Amino acid sequence: MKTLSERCGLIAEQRPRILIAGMGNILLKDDGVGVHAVKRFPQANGQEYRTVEVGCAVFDALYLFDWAERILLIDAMQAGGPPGTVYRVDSLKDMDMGTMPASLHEFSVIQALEMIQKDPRPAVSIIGIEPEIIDYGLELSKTVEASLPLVWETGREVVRKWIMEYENRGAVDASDGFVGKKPILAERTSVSRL
Amino acid sequence: MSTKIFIDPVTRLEGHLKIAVTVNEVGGQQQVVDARASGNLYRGFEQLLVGRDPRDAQHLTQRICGVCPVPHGMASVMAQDAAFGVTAPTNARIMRNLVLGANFVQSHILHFYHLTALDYLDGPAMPPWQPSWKADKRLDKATTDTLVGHYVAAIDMTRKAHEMGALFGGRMPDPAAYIAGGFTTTPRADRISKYKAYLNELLPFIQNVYLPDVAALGAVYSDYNNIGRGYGNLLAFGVFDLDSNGESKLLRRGRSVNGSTSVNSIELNQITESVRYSWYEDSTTNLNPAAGKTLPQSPKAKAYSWLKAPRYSGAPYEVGALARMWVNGDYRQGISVMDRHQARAQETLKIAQALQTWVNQLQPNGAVYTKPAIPSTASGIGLTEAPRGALGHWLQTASGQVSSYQIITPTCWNASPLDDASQMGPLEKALMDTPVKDLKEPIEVLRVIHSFDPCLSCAVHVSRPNEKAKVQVIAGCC
Repeated sequence: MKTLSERCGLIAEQRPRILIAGMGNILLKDDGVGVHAVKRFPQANGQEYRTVEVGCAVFDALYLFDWAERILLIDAMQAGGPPGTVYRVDSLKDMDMGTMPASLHEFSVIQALEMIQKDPRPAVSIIGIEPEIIDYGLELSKTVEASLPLVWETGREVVRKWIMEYENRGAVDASDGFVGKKPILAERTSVSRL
Repeated sequence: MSTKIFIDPVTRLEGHLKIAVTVNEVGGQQQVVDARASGNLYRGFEQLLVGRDPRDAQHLTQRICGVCPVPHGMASVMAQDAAFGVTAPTNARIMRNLVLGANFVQSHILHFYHLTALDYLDGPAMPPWQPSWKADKRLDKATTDTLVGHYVAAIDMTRKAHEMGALFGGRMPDPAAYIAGGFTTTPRADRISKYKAYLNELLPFIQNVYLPDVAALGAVYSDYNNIGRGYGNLLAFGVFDLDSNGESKLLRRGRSVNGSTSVNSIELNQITESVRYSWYEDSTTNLNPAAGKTLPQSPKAKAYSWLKAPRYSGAPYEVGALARMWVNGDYRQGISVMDRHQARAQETLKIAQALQTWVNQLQPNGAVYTKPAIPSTASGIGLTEAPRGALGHWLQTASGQVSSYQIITPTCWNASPLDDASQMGPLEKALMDTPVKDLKEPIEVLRVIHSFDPCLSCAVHVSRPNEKAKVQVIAGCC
């Protein structure tokens, strides 16, 4: 059976295929920070990445997750820090799978990513922002709004890392002996005067 | 020995439904001997509409449900058209049907694959397929794997059906284009060709994947052709008007009593809503919706549901795809769990094929709107069908504002509680005599419920790292 993206007629463009997905409910203030962050994410210069405001429509975005080779999720995240803290998680294994959904409404993006059928699955990194207010409203709290420049900068770092890793794939790293290491000083020897 | 079993909430349906069945041995078989269906969520839509501008009604009532908002938009503007004495131009009538039809296609595919199939599938070891009951899973591994693949493909198809509807509706769900007097979108050529392109993907899926899957399931679970019949009373208001006065429809209006092949007419004054077993004041019982009142009263002795009990001439009626296709003469094989799935799938094809015809009838430069004069006092009724069944909006205005708005949804008909004469609702009746092998996993009960496609609503989506995770803190807040 064709993959979802093949059936959709999506054409592979720049490699690796990077998707930046904004998650969350924009009707609940800071819950929707991911969507706000992606709305105003700096434009790609060429086709380095695609951005999409997924919001809560994780199933409808499945075909995009299936297209991607690298996925950067931006979402509200509760990890114990004060409101506005920006986190970075580079492995899905570090994420709580959540409780069993009793309804498709409760399906988390982490669970939905498990449904991607192709192999290998896309690598996933997450930028999380500790929410301050989760309540009805369309605006972010001032605290979380202030975290956005750092979110964007971190996002661009992740994208740069992925692009560099891809460009250097298969290459031999010959700089390992020198870069970052302390210089090896020769032992002092006495120079005999002739 | 009789045992009472609760299922609360019933999962894989829209809304909040609780089912209680009493199971006992009858003639050597353990089966359902009593059933109660409870709608557990009160929303208050009928009250919140009072005092508002009637021209907002289609936007507000669409928020009743995210799976099938479009029928509410349709019923609402039909009620407004009748109240204001305006007829929508042909282009608008067609576009209203095209968007509603897209919603039907989306909803039926979603219902079979994403809500129903898991009653029969033992899928992969991860959500949404697990955890699941293990009882009575008969499909072999190859068939299961195929159906799991189709489940995932169906996600794509439902998205496309919605994108198709959004071409004219503006967005899906809750298309904003429904308006009294017409439709707010123009039938541009590019919209028409994109709509057709989507249909060209959906039709092969319906014909080559959906219909065969339903048939294959029915073959393995053929005993379900004799489970879940209920009263056999079927009712349809009819849907997809083919002319401007609504006389001719793709699926006609009518009702059938106890599985009869003869079709009777519908007189609206025969519709009443009983509240003796519902959480509403008893003084409001057995009113026609045109005189209907919604006065909640909870707690109330004997009451067990927020649904009122709609009745026609005092009798309970099932609504939905089977009812429509039966009344229209398109499906008469039987009335049961499997017949409902069959009829729904066949209806999906019938509608998708009609959409192909209708989109070609649009006139790109034709009118889409007739501006109505709004009288300060008016009343109108909008009768249509949601994917789940007959839907009616009863609108009354005074001094330019809504003075009364009564809605009877399809699931109100189907999942209704007992009425004043203590007659069960259609779903409760359909559960009677259902065999139950395992009291802890009454999968048979779930299969009967899901065959009706009940629809009786968004969570916080904050993610959390697990306890052992090393989460890199980029920076704290200031």
